[in-house]
Amino acid sequence: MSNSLKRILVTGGAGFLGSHLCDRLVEQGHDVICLDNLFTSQKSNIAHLLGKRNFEFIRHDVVHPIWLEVDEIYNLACPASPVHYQYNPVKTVKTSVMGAINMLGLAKRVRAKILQASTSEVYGEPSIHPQPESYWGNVNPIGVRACYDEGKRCAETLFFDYHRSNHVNIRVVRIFNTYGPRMHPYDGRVVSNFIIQALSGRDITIYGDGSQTRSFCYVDDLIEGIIRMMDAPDDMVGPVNLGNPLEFTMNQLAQLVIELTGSKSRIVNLPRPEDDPSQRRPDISLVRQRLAWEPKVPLKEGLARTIAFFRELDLRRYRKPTDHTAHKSSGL
Amino acid sequence: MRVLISGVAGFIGSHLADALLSDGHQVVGVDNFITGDRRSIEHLASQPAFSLLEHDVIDPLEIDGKLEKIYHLASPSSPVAYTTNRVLTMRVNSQGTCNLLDLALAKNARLLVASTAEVYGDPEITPQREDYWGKVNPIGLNSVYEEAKRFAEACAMAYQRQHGADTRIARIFNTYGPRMSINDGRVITNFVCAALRGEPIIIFGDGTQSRCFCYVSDMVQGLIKAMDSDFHEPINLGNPEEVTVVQLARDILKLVGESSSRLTFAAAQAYDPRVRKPDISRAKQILNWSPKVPRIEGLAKVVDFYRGRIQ
Repeated sequence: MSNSLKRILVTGGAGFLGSHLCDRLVEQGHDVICLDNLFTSQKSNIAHLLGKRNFEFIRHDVVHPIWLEVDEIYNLACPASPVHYQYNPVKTVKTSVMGAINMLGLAKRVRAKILQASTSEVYGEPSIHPQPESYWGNVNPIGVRACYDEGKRCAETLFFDYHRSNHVNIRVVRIFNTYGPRMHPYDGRVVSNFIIQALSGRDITIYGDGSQTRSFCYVDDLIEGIIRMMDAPDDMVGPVNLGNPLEFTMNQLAQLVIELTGSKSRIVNLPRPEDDPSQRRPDISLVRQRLAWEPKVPLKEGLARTIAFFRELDLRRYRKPTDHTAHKSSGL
Repeated sequence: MRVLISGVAGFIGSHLADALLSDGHQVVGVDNFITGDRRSIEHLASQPAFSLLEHDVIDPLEIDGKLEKIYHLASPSSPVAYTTNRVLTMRVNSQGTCNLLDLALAKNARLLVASTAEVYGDPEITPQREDYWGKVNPIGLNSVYEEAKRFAEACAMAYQRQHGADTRIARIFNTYGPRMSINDGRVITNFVCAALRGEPIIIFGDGTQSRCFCYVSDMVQGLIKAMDSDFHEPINLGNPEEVTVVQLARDILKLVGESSSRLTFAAAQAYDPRVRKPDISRAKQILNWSPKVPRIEGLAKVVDFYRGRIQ
């Protein structure tokens, strides 16, 4: 890692991952500019950073260009959970692609290094498990998830175009399921759903028999991976998978949440929706080999920290998604 | 009716303008002339029903008055054109599509996205049906076009789902006819021009590889029918009839007549263009459309056209 202090832009810096990234970069002493339109992000995620000398917050939508002098850009801005990105699909397509164009334009102009937070969703409904980076994916271009999947694929294409045509110094990471404190309580993801149900003593709902598996990466591990990728040698542009390949069944997860919360919630099985997203599991050989990175935090420990966060949460401050969305309680 | 065509000076756009004008519609043509050719629309300048707006749809556009239909055809579309305009290709299909969708919403107009067979990428099934999701590398050298067009489709669907935009998607397969750009490296223009110049016709590989080609007037009728239909999911438009590259070369030589050109076989290219063949059951069933122009007739028109250009 370079010792010099840099001026770093984090788009989506008040989101779940973005705020943890800002924490780490501020802690390392860098000058951090956090850019966020607070569409799905929370100001409370960065409230503790607002007084710091090396932290600045700008409320701005990356759909519109912005000119800043920076050395590095982490482009994380985009609604990322199905309930959020399907709530406003037009916003999603514009954010992923116009955001990428604007940030790449900025990176080109000021010669900044730029990292794109891509996603395992670029693999769509994969026909191979686990997914290596070389897998092209299986995505429906006109499906309800296309706004996100195709938006993120298109953003990757743009990154590689600017890299090939304009020699922009890029990094692309494909982020798999991540959990931890500051997840949006109503993002419809299975970890937040289970914890909220357990803490409120309601039934924990599992779709199907609960034998379906998912892999979860704790946020601290993921942030470490993102920063290592940014600091990787310039020939290491990616894309690289970042995620935890360890799989758990929904039943195991629910049991663990009940155990850690000490809740009296019961587990209830509901019929599995037809469009329940299929399993995705990262092949992380590349990042293990090149960046010596792998997840460290065990699920039990990560869940305990996440539960502690949710216990303190004032749910009145968060807005629920609408019934408009298709994957409200999906297993993501 | 008042109709906007983006990419009006392009190969298909100019023929579409001709057809719509002869059907009695008013046409607002938009083009930035990056790959469009002024000669393709110069005959329209005298038509009162035609107006031209020199504009790049990457920037938002405002149109005075009513607008009922928007055909979004603007995009570099041959490998030569889109690999030399990589970022522009991405932008016209993403920002450009969003801008035209915004215009469609503002005008309460219907918008047709001219998509492409390239959304199928490197298909594992032949022929390709519309419900096939394709096999596309998001970060490959051709991704600029493939992903950009997939994204344009996703944009249309997002606007339709969220704002009730009235959208149509046509997936255009290989099309040929007069006004194709001479330098875009497509096999028919290459062969016809070589034959007319008396240069060798170069066939890569043994020439037994087959291709499908749809004549432009058929394509234009397909686009108009797709626009006028009630169906908002993608529809393949193309000619499923296959012809080998050698047969194509022989047909062209025969049509050119006295040519000193010979067929020359060269080593197959490392990158052979992917063979795509449309399954047009949907277009037949929903649009009552299928290609009509026989190959020899279409090729004859192409030969006549380039004879005029080359001499």
